[in-house]
Amino acid sequence: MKRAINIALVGFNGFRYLNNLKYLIEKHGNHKFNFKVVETGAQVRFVNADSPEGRDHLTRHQPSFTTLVASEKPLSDSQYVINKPIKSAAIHQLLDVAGSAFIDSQHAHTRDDANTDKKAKQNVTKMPESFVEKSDKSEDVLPGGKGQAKEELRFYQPHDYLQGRILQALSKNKGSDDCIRFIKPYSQSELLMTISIADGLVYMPEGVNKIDKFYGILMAGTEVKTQIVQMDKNHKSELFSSGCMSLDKLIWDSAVGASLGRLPKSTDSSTTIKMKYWPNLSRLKLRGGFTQIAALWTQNSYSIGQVRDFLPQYSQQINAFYAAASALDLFEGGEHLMVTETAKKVDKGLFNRLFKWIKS
Amino acid sequence: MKNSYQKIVIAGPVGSGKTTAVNTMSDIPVVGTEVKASDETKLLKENTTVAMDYGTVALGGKQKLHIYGTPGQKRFDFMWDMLGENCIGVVLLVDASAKDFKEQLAFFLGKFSDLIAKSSLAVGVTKTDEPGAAQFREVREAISEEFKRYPVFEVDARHKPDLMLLVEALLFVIDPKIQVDVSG
Repeated sequence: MKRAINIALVGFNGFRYLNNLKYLIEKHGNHKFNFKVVETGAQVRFVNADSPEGRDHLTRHQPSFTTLVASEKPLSDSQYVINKPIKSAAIHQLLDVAGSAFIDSQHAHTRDDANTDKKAKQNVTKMPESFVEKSDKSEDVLPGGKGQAKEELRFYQPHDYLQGRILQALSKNKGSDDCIRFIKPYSQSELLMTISIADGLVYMPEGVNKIDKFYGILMAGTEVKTQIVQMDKNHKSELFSSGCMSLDKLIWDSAVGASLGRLPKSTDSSTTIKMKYWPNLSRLKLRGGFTQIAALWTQNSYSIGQVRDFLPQYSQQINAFYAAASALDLFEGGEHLMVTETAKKVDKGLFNRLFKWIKS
Repeated sequence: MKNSYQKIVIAGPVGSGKTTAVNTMSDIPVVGTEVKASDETKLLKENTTVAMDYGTVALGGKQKLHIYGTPGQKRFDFMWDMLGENCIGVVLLVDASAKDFKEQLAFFLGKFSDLIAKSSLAVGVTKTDEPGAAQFREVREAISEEFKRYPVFEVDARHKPDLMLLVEALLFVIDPKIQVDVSG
């Protein structure tokens, strides 16, 4: 049976270039497999080693049949690396080798499953769940690494999402009076939003309700163009008087949307931290448990692990809350912030009734 | 029944939305003491509260939550002291469109600081969408360091979910580790 393998392009930018690559990749195939270029759910990555996203990806992944590389300079003699300029013959050869290895690995995985669990053999034609990429570490979820894979699924790379692109643009223009225009992904000039850094406001030409759909899109290999523009006061006040949301809300909501219950990569769950003040929860994307999580972290210092111990039912919400609050720089760290707790006596019956009233 | 008489105090300056908030939260028609404003208040609004607004919420059994909206004028501050007993917490409303919101914040937080220390606090910032109003973050930054641990949210006093969120946060400040059971 012919198998479709999902491939994502990492670090290749430019509308025409992307379309040419897509055409080259998708038109190639044989009776066993063909490739489909996707944004999410990739099983294989084709990485531009000369781009920042590609370099970042290659710090965590070696060239393999799930990480194909194109580079200006010779990187290694791996069969999974080709040199630029990319020629159609070279890319087709690369796809043949990678595709065959991918199919073989799937068969090996299926055999392993059959040996270890008789019941599982009924599913031999089904794509192993671990192959469907939810994090950006495709080889970590290959056969043999299932435990690690589960652990990896708890993390995400903020830069791969709109959240990271916004924070990157803001840090480059910190303290500036200018505005930053974001162009829609896959578009040459269509405006996604304009951020006024000084006013802490974001203008969205299509209205504030249409931005949500971009929060969870994996943009690992996609350029989101930004332009710095200067605006006079009148133009600014006219622009930011309608179709507008606060910059804090955009950062918070985009982080919650990207996190999906995962922590930002490299987060240490054992470090003790405290929040400087409460986020403006009435105007932000809320998830169950956010108010109590905020109360814990504003009243005392706790690690993420400790908060999970207090509220085990909100494990994913704690991760999402941390992702959003840290994106807004609400945390300060350190054991020195720990205060001795003098718990007030609470009438639990009364409190439960009050919470019931609130939830009603 | 133990602690059957419990109250939340809604405080804040003239025009910050206290009467509206009590109306929004209460189960019963609010007992109000609004009269036509005769002093400098009439520059701000037509009617003003001279004693206090009162509403209740039935919590089940004989238990009731009493909601008191204080009069905003400073000359009625002797009445504020009477509200301390059995008080769960103070909801302080601040009008972001008032030119002197910083002074108002400092005044009310100072006046209620003893009660807040014994109970809890949540600050609701109203009228942030009015022309010329201060931005929410300016109001938050105007709150002194000792009150930074309390929740501060933008609210619309007519919008019940906003007020419920304030009260929820106020309760969690009292016991952040409480295991809530709303099934009973």
